[in-house]
Formats: sequence, structure tokens, C-alpha cells
Amino acid sequence: MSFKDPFLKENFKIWDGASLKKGFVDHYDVVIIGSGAGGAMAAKVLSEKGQSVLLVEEGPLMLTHEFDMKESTAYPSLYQESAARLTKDKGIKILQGRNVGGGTTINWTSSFRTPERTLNWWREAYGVKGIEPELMKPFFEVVEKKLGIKEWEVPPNENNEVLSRGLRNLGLSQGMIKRNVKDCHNLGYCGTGCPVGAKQSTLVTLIPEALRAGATLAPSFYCERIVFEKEMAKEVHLTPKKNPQLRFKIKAKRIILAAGAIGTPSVLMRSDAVDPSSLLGKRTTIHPVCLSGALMNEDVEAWQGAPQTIYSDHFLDSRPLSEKMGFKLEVGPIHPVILATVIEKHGEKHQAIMKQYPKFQAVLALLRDGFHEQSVGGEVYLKEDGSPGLDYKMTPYLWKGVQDAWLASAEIQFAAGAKKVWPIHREAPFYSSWKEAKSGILNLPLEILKAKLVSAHVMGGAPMGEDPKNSVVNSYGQHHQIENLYIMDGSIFPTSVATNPMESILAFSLRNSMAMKAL
Amino acid sequence: MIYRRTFFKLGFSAAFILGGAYSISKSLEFESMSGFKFLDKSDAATLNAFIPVILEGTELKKKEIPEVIQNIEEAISGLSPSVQGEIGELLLLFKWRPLRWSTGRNSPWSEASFEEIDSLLVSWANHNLELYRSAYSALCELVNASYYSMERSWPTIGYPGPPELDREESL
Repeated sequence: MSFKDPFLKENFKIWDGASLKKGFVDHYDVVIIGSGAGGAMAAKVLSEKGQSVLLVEEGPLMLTHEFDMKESTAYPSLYQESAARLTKDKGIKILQGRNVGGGTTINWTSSFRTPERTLNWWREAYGVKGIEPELMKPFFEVVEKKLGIKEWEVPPNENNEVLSRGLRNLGLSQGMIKRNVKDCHNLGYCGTGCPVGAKQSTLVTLIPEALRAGATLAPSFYCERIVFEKEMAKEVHLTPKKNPQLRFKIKAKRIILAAGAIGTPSVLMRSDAVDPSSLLGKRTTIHPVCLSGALMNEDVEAWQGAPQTIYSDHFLDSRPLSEKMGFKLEVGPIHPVILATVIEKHGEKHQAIMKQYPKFQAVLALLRDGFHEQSVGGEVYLKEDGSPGLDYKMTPYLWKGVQDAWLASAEIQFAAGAKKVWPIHREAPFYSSWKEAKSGILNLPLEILKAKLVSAHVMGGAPMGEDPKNSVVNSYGQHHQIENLYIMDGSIFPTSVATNPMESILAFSLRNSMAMKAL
Repeated sequence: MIYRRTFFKLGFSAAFILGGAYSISKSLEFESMSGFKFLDKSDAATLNAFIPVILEGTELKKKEIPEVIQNIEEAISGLSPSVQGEIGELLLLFKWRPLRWSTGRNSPWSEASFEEIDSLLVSWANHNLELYRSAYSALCELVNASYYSMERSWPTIGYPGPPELDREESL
């Protein structure tokens, strides 16, 4: 193993919330809330420009050698709400990172540039400036070089191979997913934190670089609110998770929010920030995901091997953006607790599927939400205790996308040799043929808490644009009304990205932090 | 104190849905179970009755049930107060008399038979009301996740567990 953890070798400035005895006041040029793709990139760029940076993270600092590949360790420590966050009506489960490195610590390494048609849509429908594909290209190139994003040369695991084979047999387009890894061991445990430091998450790349350039890290600190004065953000109030009675008041020349598309709007809502467009926390898109399980004749062992290496954009490319709901097809790693909780059954019926675990394969369809009048996204709201939630309603248009995706997935799985296919829905049986599946799927009730729906990508809630009536931040992430407040995460996307968003967030954060004027 | 607050919240929505008033018996006052911060004695007794039904077909032994309950307690302790409150609502459902009456029961769920619990779960799984369908999800998820995070369950489903790593060098 060639990985040397910089956190163990170097002397970084890191606050320890548990040992601090009393709150204090401190000053920085920039305070950044959130250490995922967006915040870490901003921290690196700005600290290397010589600015004093405090990088605040709600989740804990967990290091590579602490990642034990167990779901029981990873979910409570690395995910929002122990990986059990739900939308308001409990219809959709939301997976989000909550740790130093954010989503990049626990995602499946799938790296895609923002699709050109998405960039063009943002320009045309929302008036975002300076994002012509040729202007964005250099930022993607830098991000790809920095994080080792390249083609994955190892053959796909069987879980991905089933998708690939089915697509091939049906003559549908497919591609290989680029991954942000170096010396990857092909273990399959990206979702529980890479135990060998191969995944080029911000935890092992941009954050150590920012700290080396002098930034300070505050892990396990919750951002309660921002204090505004005369349309300027003056200070940030932080509270250590392990010492919740303490308050830290951090004065900063600039404040950057990068707490994710649920966290970022919620900080501003708790702070009573001005919101003349009434768009704060609105138009939240999530790429709703529906699933199709298959039982194969041979072992799939979907827990091992690089989790996502094959995708198909056939059902995006063949459907114009504002017409039928399009979806991207991928697969996901299947670990025991994931499977046990995806199967919403009990007793013998549940165990009968669990016992087929090694032969279980699953296709995921990510719905491209936010591009149609019947897909306007959800809304972030504050609960009684000030913590955020997301209200996201499924519409008939979205449900049609779910139904189309179950059909497409089942046909692909049968074409790949599946013995049985099960659209993951409480009332669906295991179908034995494509013919049977085709008519059965059309009769499944399209209702939440029957169809299993999940999301791993939350976007929007502080959309960018040039018209303050139709956006919260400008085309460079600067707040329209609060001059020294910036947003640098997926919150700024006016619609969903229509692909896995990590690389988009990194590239926009790189572009926007480079564009910030010197202090 | 979570219970008190969420009790009224649930009370409102559930009473609204079923269109009737209800009361909760004083005899169900929450006694804290030793060592547990979240689950009380009656929650643990309810789980003790539901776990064998939810995990029917696994190799769970009766003496392992307390360990599953312990795992559930730990899982809940790690959640935010607002999510804990929601799980509190779920557990309250079992202490709620109209639910018992609607299923023709007079005694607590902890005393229900395997068949009674199974048919309650079946009726919840595809219930017309989202409240019951979400209660079904939450309950099955808590129990199934707690069981399948136990290493002992892994060989029974053909999962070898995470690979061995030699970490010496990286430290």
C-alpha cells in the first residue's frame, strides 16, 4: 500500500471541539461551511492565494485507517442522519455525506463532466453567464488532473457486467464511467470510506492541500447561524457537536456556504437571510432513483469490485430535455444492510430474497428532474429544532419516468440472462419473463412507500442566474443581495445536473473561487 | 421529553385520520429500561414480540433478540433529536389503544401472538394510509438493519464480510 495519510504525517491546524472549555471570538478572511467537493475546493484555492481560511464541517474527521468497511461503522459516522434521512412524507430516502470530505468520502467515485445540454439549458432558460461548454472545459480538465479522474481499465464487476451485457444485447448505447482513484484495489467498499486512500476524495487531496497552505479545519462543528449587518455577512456562530453549550463567534470578511443543497439553504433560513426572489430552499432536485432487482444464474457478488463502472445515457439522449422524463442507468454496490433495507418485506418473504444475495443484481435509474413544468423540485424546510428537512413530491410526470425506467431496466436484465426480475416495489412479484414483466409493471400502483425511491444527489435551493428575481446567487456563486456571501456547492444548480454531480460541483467551485476578487 | 411533545403531534394527525378521540393509559407511563436512553421497557417488550416475526426465516436464536434490541437502541441514539422524535412517534403507535381496538385487541402488543403480529404487519405494508406504510418501513428497516449489521448473520446469506487488509505500511 502506497498511501501515506497526510493527517498522520503533518502538523495541521485542527480544532478539537471536545477539549475546548469555552467559546471564543476569532477572525478569518474566509469561513467556509462544509468540506465536501465544493467547500474543500474553495478552501484549497483561497488558502493558496494567501487568505486565512477556516473550513468548518458538521461531521467528524475520520481518517483512512479508521474505515473498516462495515456498514454499522460507516452509516452513523459518515452519513447524514445515519444514512436514513427521508423526505417529509417519508417517500424517498436521501443519502448524503456528513464527515470531513462530505459526499466525496462516501460516494462511488463516478466522475462525469456537466453534460453540455445541461450547461446550455442553464444559459438559455436561466441566463447563467460564462458557462459555455468551451469556457467550462479548462476547469473540468484541472479537476480531472487534480483528482486522478480517468478511464477505469479493470474489467467491470459482474454487477456492472450484467448492465453492460443487457445493453449490448439490445443494441443500446453505453459508456465506461471515469473514476477519481489512484492505485485502486478494486475492493468495492467506496461507500463506507476508502480503506486504502485510493479514492481521491477531498479528505486525501484538497483538504490536506488547503491545510498545508495554512487553512484551519473545524470538524464536528455545527453552523447555527450567520449574523448579517447592513446587507453584509458579519460573523458565523458555530457550536461544537461534543460541547453543544459553547458558542464560537467567527468574524470573517467573506463567508462561503458549501453545506450541501439541504444544509446550505437551511443555514440561511435559520439566519433569516434576505430572500427577495423567494427561491431560497426551493427548486431542490434530487435525481430520484428507482431500482430493479434481478436474480442471475451465476454469482454476481455485487458487494465487491469497483461499484460503478458502466452507464447508459440512452434514455437521456433519446428524450429531449423538456419532454419525456429521461433517466441515466447505472448499478450500485449491494452490501448486506443496503439490501436488507431496500427489501421492504418481513419474515420469510424478506429472508427468501436475502438468501439469494450472491446472485442478486440491481439496476438504478436516476431521473433527470427539474427540466419540466411538472418537475419543479422540492423545498427545504426547518424542523422545530432548527434542523433541515426536504419536502419533495412525486408528480405524475415523475412517476411515468419511474415506470419507464422499471420497464427499461427489466428488459435489459432479461436480455443479460436474468432468471427473474423484480421492480423494487412492495406489491411487485418476481417476474420470470420480459413479457410477464412488461404487463405486470404497467399495473403497479405508482405511490410512495410502495415503490422504493432513493436519492444520492441533492441539488438546487440557491439557484444561480443573472436576474435577482429568478435566482439567489449570480453566475459566479455570489449572493445577489449579500455581497460578501458565496455559495459553492450543488445548491447553485438551477436544475438537476442529469448525471452524478461531484465533478460539476468541483469544477464550479474551482471556477468561482478563482474568480473571487483579491481581498 | 421527546415523547411528550411528539405524542401530541402524532395524536393530532392520527386522531384526524381515524376521526376519533383516544386516550393513553396511565399504566403505560414510560419506565426507563436499565441502560437504555431511548427505548423504554414497553418499547423493548414490543420489539421483543415483533423481532421474531420480522426476522422469521433467519437463523436468529431467541437468546439473540436482546442483542438486536441493543443494536436498535444504539442506532436510535446516534440520530438527531428530530429523527428520534419521529421514531418515538412510531413506538407510540404501539401504545395507542385505538390501534389495538381497531385490530380487536385488549392486551398490549407485547402479548400478541406471532400470527396476530404478522397480520398487523401485512395490513400495514400496503395500507391505504401512508402513515401505516411508513411505520411498516421504519419498523422493518430498524430490525432488518440491526440484524444484518451483525457479523453472525453474514454467512447465512453468503456474504464473506469485508476483505482482510494489511494496514501496517500505511500507518
